[in-house]
Amino acid sequence: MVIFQNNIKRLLRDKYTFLMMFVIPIIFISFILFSVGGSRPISVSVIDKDNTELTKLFLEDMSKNCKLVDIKENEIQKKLIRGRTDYVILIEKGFSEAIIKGEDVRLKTYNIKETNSSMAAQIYADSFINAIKNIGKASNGNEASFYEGMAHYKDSSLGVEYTSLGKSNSKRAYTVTGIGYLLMFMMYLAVNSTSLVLQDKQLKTYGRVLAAPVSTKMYTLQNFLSGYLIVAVQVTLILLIMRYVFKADFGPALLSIYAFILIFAITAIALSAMINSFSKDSRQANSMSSLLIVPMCMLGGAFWPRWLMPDLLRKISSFVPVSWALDALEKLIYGRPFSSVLLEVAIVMLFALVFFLISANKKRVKNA
Amino acid sequence: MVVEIKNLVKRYNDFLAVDNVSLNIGEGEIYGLLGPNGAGKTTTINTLIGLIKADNGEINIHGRNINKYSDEVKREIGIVPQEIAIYDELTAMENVTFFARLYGLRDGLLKERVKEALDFTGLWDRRNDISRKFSGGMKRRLNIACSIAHHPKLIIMDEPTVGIDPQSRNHILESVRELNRKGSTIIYTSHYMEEVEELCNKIAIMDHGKVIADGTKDELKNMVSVEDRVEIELSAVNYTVVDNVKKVTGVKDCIADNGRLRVSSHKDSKNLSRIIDCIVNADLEIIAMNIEKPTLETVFLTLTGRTLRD
Ligand SMILES: Nc1ncnc2c1ncn2[C@@H]1O[C@H](COP(=O)(O)OP(=O)(O)OP(=O)(O)O)[C@@H](O)[C@H]1O
Ligand SMILES: [Mg+2]
Repeated sequence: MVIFQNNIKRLLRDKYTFLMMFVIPIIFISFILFSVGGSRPISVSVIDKDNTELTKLFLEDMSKNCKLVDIKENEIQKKLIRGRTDYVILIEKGFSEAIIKGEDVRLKTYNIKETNSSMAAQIYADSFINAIKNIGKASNGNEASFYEGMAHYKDSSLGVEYTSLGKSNSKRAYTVTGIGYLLMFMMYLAVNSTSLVLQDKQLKTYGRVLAAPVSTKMYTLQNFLSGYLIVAVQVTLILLIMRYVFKADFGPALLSIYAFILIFAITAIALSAMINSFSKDSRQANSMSSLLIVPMCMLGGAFWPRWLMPDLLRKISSFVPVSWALDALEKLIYGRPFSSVLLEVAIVMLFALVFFLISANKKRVKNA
Repeated sequence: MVVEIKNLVKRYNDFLAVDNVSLNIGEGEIYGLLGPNGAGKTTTINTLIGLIKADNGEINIHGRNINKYSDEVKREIGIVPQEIAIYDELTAMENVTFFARLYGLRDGLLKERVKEALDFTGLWDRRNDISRKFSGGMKRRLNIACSIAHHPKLIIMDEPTVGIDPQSRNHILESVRELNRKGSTIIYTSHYMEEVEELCNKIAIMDHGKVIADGTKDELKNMVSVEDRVEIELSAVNYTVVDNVKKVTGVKDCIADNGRLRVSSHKDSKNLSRIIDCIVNADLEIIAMNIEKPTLETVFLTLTGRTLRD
């Protein structure tokens, strides 16, 4: 690992790397996180056609976390589109009865796909419904024991947990944007740190190193590893600063988020490998990375939510790894388990594989 | 044989950079590879150390094929590339340490050898300076230091003296001799024929990708010189002395020209003392004398019709 160590030494000594690693990302991310003003509560509208004790309990519960907005059934669409409400729940007649009988019923809901606020509202509603379904099953259709269970549930720790699920949801939206920027800076840093190979070619040390008993494979591997370590250090420190200095709200599972970003770092290194293989020198690699990374982040929703973009662009954006990464990270921030982002993990790794293959192929062509 | 190159061919697209080169380099030699710019010296060297793939031919180092035993062979070679290959953001010591570690040196031995290499190249006092700030000559010396810490049996130096002042150059030439004395075989590439002539015991002259001549210095010179020439400047010239010199055995011709005698003899006649006797007997005073010996420049000129520096 002689080359790996040497690369790390060279990178850490480089002022530009240091700037790209911490200074610039922290400045940007702090801007975003500090712009979190008074957080807007999530607006939820419930059309209650059942009107029972249970649905009242539900409404009461939702009102703890969300602002309840009145709505008529015929204006759901309109109000959603105008942003008057984030999430509409329609409770059909007979809902309570079915729940108490332990049947599997669902709420009818309306929202604009993929908005952060609706996702949070959905999580509140889901966790409440899941809890009462369980109580329903346990009470075997007996209304009295059901409401007894409900009373118990309200005081239990379960109830506490779900109310704490996300007090500050719009704060989390800013966290998502902050992480979007982090992904961008990761990719920049990855290109910068792995383009040591191009510097080596300019300095002529590349050939000199290969004249020693070192294979091209070992050289390349160590170059990737040193780049990866630098990016991993960046991610670790910036997440820590976001969390403990800027008090960003990462939701319940910072570790899963960290793990996912570390996986995405592999994709960032693969992308850099591809950019490097198409560049003559590190300056060319840097300009090519600017040309690729910023549009990638725009399409991928690093700067604004993807649902704001026209349909066509959204379709195109699924060809960009950042979209998948941010989808996954958003889910994790809003409390979904890591198992819910396995598809995104697979896709992000697939992008890495494709990038590596393209760069390997490009090198082969160059050498031939 | 330390190095055996057989029928080496390297093409860049249609351009034939190395054209069927065969060389044999023996243990303990300082082998000079002499040729003008673009002759194919660096290309030959780079195929030798496995940096570029030959299109044809075979190379063995210490009897081992370089493609089959790449790592073992590389371990025994120290390469001083023509273009300085050092990390300019690192110090002299860090550079030498890095390259020495690539060859597997560790711990105590590593430290010892790094110091030795820096001492040897006169850079120990500057060991903690960033090499970007070094002068060209110092960078050249650092380039050498990086290649010798692992005590290679074969040291290949590709124009190690390009662009540096005579003092540094002498320092480098002296180092080369010293390394050779310590037991390394050396391949020394240059387009300065004086350097090669001074340093090397065996020489190959390359031009347009071909080896046009190889052998010891004397063998090369004998290829081109058919006569020994001497030019003598005298206080005065008269015809008697010209006639007498012409009678000396081995002398082919003697011409008086503007106070000078130009004498040409058959090769290896060893008749200089007798020629001088004639002049002394005629009571003439010798002001200056110039024995024209063929140089490698003459050899190159004769073989190619061009001078080396064209
Ligand atoms: N990568 C390359 N692609 C195409 N042509 C090349 C390449 N490398 C070298 N050449 C050509 O091959 C020929 C031999 O080059 P080489 O560098 O071996 O010469 P050299 O004898 O070392 O010259 P110099 O004294 O200038 O170092 C030159 O004409 C050069 O233009
Ligand atoms: Mg050369």
